[in-house]
Amino acid sequence: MTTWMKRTIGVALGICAFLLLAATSCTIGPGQSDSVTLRVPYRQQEQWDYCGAASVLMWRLYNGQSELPQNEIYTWMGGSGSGLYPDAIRDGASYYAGMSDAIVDRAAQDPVESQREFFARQISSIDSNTPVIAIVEVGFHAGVIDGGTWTRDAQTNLNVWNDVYFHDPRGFADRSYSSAQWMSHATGGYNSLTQIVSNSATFNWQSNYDAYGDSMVDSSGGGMGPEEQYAY
Amino acid sequence: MRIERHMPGMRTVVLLAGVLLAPLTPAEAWNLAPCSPDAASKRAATAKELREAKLGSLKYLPHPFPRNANEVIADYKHQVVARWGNIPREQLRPGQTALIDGLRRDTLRIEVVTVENWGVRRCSDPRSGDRYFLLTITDASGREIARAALEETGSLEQTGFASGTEAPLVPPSAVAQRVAKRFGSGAESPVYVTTTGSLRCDVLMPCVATRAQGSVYLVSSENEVFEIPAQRRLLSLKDDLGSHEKRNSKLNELKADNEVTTSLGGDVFVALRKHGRLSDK
Repeated sequence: MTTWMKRTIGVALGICAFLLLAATSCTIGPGQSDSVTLRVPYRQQEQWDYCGAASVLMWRLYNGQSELPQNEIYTWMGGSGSGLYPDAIRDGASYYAGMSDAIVDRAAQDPVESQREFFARQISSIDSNTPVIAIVEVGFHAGVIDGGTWTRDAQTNLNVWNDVYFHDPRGFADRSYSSAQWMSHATGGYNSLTQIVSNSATFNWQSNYDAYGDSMVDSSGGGMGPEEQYAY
Repeated sequence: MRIERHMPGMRTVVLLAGVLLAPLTPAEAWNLAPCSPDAASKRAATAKELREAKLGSLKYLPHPFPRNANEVIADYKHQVVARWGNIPREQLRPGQTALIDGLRRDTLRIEVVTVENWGVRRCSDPRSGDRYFLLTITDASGREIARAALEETGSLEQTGFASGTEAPLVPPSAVAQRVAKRFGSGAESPVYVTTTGSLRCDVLMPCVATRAQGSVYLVSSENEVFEIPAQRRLLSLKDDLGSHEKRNSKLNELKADNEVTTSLGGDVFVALRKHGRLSDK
């Protein structure tokens, strides 16, 4: 292939990428709202303690891999008693969803910085179009975060997340939590936060967090990521 | 208590006369573990903040602490439209657009019931009260499209969109009759409850709790029945279930005795005996 042809293809690809980006990205002004949905395929859990296995299956399907019986994943993850063990879900995500850099991300609710950093990683992952498996209700349940809605705050010019979309394998797909309620749901009102995230998908959270700093979190509090925070 | 409302618009039909403006909640909360006075005072501070919120704030509610189904529905509609109403339609999911369109055109039927909150947040998070309002939302064809939960403050907790596989809500009184038939005695004070634990009663798919023969029975949305005996075996979230090792050990111990555990509020959990499925009739 000649250099001219390579350049032409390169320019064409660049234009396509720009058009694709323009078509899918959202430029919103102050006070305006928008929504992002990763379109993770939804699966209802087949047994009461299959929520971890169903969550791993949803992540697997999102990554374009084939359907699998939930009991296969559940059994591989250790079966009864281990279906909700975060380490087992991480291993399941690595093995069945190809997320070899999946990690168990644990944080305390107190001090508040720890909580903000935790949710910054959560938002950063969604920004990277990568789902998160959230362990909720003090570790008794799990599901997949599929996106959310936000508003551009007129005063701070931050994208404030209003809602979190949660694929709850228990039933009623595409649940939408108000973000303040989501943060409470995630902690269960106790000092523990756990999620399974891709390490690379959350790579930028620290620099984003450092760049905006605590001063960007308004008096109502909330977790934050790149130019973003949860409304509280 | 079951409150029903038909919309559309001026053709509103009230199925149960007078209930739209009737109080939604009984005076006393129905639970088995009271919160501490400290938790109550923290709730008061949160309530004050909500009542003082101004229009434009996400915290603003037309009717803080709604007293009847009309006020609950008004709070819900306000919050859904405030959150999603300005988002371009193409960015929303089909369930969201159907919901917003139906709310704006008053073509939805919304039924409001109360769900007693036995979840861990009840006594540990000041925003979480003694009960939720559960809204079941059906379209003009009678198909259930969504359920939503509001805190007793009126603040929106969540909306879930029906996938078509969820079981319909069964009235607590009907479940109580089945319990009475199964255990051979009257079953009293049936209510919807939400809990968490190895028995989870999701707020959108609540269990029914009822008292009979000194015990409290919980019936799940899958119609499985569990008993909290009069002599309750209480567990501590922190001490008994606080780590993976402790939790695994305790859950295995309960399983050997044909038991599960569920929350009663705050740190308090309880052991429940499994009784299998309840007859549908």
